[in-house]
Amino acid sequence: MSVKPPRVWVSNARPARGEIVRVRAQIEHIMESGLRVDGEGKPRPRNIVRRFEARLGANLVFVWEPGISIAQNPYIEFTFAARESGELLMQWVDEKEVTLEARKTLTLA
Amino acid sequence: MKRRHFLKAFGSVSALAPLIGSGLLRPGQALAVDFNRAPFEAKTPADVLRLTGTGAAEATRDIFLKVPEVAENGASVPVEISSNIPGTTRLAVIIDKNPLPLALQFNFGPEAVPRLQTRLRMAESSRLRVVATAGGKHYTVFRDVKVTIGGCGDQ
Repeated sequence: MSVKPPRVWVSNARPARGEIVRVRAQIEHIMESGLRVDGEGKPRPRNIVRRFEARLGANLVFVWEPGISIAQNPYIEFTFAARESGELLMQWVDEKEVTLEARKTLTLA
Repeated sequence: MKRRHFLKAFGSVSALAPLIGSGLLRPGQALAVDFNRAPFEAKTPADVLRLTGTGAAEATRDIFLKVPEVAENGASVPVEISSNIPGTTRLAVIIDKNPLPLALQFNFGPEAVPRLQTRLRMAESSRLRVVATAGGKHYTVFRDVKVTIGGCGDQ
């Protein structure tokens, strides 16, 4: 996986209780489908991001399972209701088990 | 440190349990939940529906699906989905004519709003289906998308 840090945007890091918060997150990843061939006609080994999860504190907000039909540099926008302050932890795992993390602190206003 | 090395070093997840309470470890990092990946390897939409148990999904107008009618570049097709069905816990996207049709699954926790935006790959013009699961029932909606340049081959 790339060495560049994930790009994360949060609509409001100081939401009111129950406010709907939007998050956009993107990493650089080839999302190699395993269907392409290299210059010599050999298939390029598959490696896609197979799991993304977002947690707020101890609560799992959601899990995203991408397949090979997700575009390179996977982008996701998700939405949740802020019910507590805490750290929003986002984790990407690819098929080589490389993990990337991003954190944003949310504080209820 | 990679998780599997970490787990190997400690023997098992349960050996880490005391650390979770102490705040040294987040549950997310110790949990080794693996979802069923078999539907992602299915080669036809019918197999995806069978393997996910969603073949009996009923048509609905309560799923909002925004996708271009004509996608110029199949390598990156923006899609926006939101479900207005109360209690939606899962969304799946199936692209009928892609080599492996199941494009994604989304599993929502109680705080999440069942809504997402992402970018898909489409090999050719195809039907795009969304299947939502709520309260053990399945609902579906579809659009046909024309693709000018496919997004799967060598470029």
